Amino acid sequence: MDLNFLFVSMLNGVVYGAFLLLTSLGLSLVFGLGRVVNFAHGALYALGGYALLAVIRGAGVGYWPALLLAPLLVVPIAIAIERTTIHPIRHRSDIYTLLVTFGISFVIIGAIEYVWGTGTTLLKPPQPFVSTVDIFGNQYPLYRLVAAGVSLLVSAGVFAVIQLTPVGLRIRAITDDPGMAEALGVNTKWLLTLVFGCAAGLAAFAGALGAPIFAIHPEMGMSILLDSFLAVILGGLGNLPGSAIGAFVVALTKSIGGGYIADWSTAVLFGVVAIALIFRPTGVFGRGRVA
Amino acid sequence: MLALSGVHAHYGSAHVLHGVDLEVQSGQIACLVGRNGAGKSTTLKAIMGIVPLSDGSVTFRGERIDGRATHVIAARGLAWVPEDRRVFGSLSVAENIRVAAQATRRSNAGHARLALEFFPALLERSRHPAAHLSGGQQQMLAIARALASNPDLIMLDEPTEGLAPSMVNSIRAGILESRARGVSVLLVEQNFRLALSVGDVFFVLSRGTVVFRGTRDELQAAPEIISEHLGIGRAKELSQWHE
Ligand SMILES: Nc1ncnc2c1ncn2[C@@H]1O[C@H](COP(=O)(O)OP(=O)(O)O)[C@@H](O)[C@H]1O
Ligand SMILES: [Mg+2]
Repeated sequence: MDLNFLFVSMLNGVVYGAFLLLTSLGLSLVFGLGRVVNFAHGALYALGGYALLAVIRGAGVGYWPALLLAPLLVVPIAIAIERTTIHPIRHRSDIYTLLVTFGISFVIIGAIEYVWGTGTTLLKPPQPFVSTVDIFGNQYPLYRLVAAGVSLLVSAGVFAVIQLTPVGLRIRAITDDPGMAEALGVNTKWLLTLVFGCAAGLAAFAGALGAPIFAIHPEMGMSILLDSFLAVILGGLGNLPGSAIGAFVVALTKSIGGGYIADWSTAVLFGVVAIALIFRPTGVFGRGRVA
Repeated sequence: MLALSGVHAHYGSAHVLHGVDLEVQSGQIACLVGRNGAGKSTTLKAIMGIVPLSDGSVTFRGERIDGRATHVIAARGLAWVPEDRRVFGSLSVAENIRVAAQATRRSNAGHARLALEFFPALLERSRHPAAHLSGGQQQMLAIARALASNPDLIMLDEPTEGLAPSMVNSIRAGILESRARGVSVLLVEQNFRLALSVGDVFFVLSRGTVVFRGTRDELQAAPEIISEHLGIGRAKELSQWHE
């Protein structure tokens, strides 16, 4: 076994895990708040990548300001989507929102293909992080480490908002008992809209941040959507710390497993999650809940 | 302060409230009593906008509130302590109270502090997760949380159910203290003796309609109402209370 290969695989896993963290947190928050299983999360991630491209190429903005602008463009789109499609059917059973978001994801991907075509684009890493760094004799792309660090910081910010702010307190109360929170005066439906928008913003940010690492193409959100679902299920739906651990378990399993058994790694991952759920149906890490 | 007029409500096709009329005046403790399944909890849920009205109206402080969203009704100054308490188990005691205090513009940090101090047992445990509290402490928390929103009227659904006698006394004191602080009370209570000892006016609900309304003295003067609509055992409780 090549130790260097293992080390680089692990590093790739940590980097991917940091991205998965961003997308899983949003998915988990939206589920915890509204029991909404958002199948459009991956398409919103892709929309972030394309919004970045549009801002850089269309408006001539530099990479770093574009990275902030791209999610800000996606948030209002997501809020409009929630208000017009999910909000009106909230009183129906969960399967309706699942089907609707599934449909929305195809509409978004279709729109992306219509506007930008079906090609693949790979952005160059931005200045000043174009070079590689030497880690134990391996030349590793510097931008990957920077992007992972940014993801971790933003995720920590999300945790801080949830744990320390009044809005975060309301979100935790709704996750516990939405009807009771509403009866105390919390406007639970608007908060879901807001959180849906912010979760989409996080996914879009991840899509934009990852553009120089993972290629931009219309279906770029599909595999990360699947992996995020695995992470969130593993962590216990709606349980944020659980989702965070789940994200790294999924990412490391994929990147290390992928190095040795290639395409089988996803199958192995599904197997691991399925077996885990047999023994801990409410998620593996901590007190989660599957609706 | 609060008035229900001809309120009807359904669960699916089951017709549960058949024209409920009920009023609570400012500064009163009004008791809603009746057998299990009479529709007491449903009445409170209809007032909160949780169960929709199929007919009739609910007026609070001169304004129609039926048909409004539940959070809007709460913001008008109505607080509800549900039957099963429903404290936020993963939140601390203080956080439970803070959610209520921050949810509307009616209340501020001062109200939150007063609510936390309302039951000394809660203050000691302010940082504990609510899930770790005993049943009686959770009931105290549910009441304190409702008071934290600085309501004009608090509705309590069987607050002493399943509690030890010492806890029942604390809850009773809390109900009286709420009125003393200017909060009107609508109390649903199975403990008939307790209801008699705190209530100013009484409404007896039977199969979704109010079959008796009156003061404590009027209710005591009508033992047939008590034995028919509240059970024979209750008439005995009443005679014991007389002694
Ligand atoms: N969620 C529900 N769905 C259907 N029927 C219900 C529901 N809740 C209560 N009921 C029925 O409505 C009637 C009144 O219930 P409830 O208001 O809880 O009575 P009470 O609080 O006086 O014991 C009962 O017959 C009960 O079975
Ligand atoms: Mg009841």
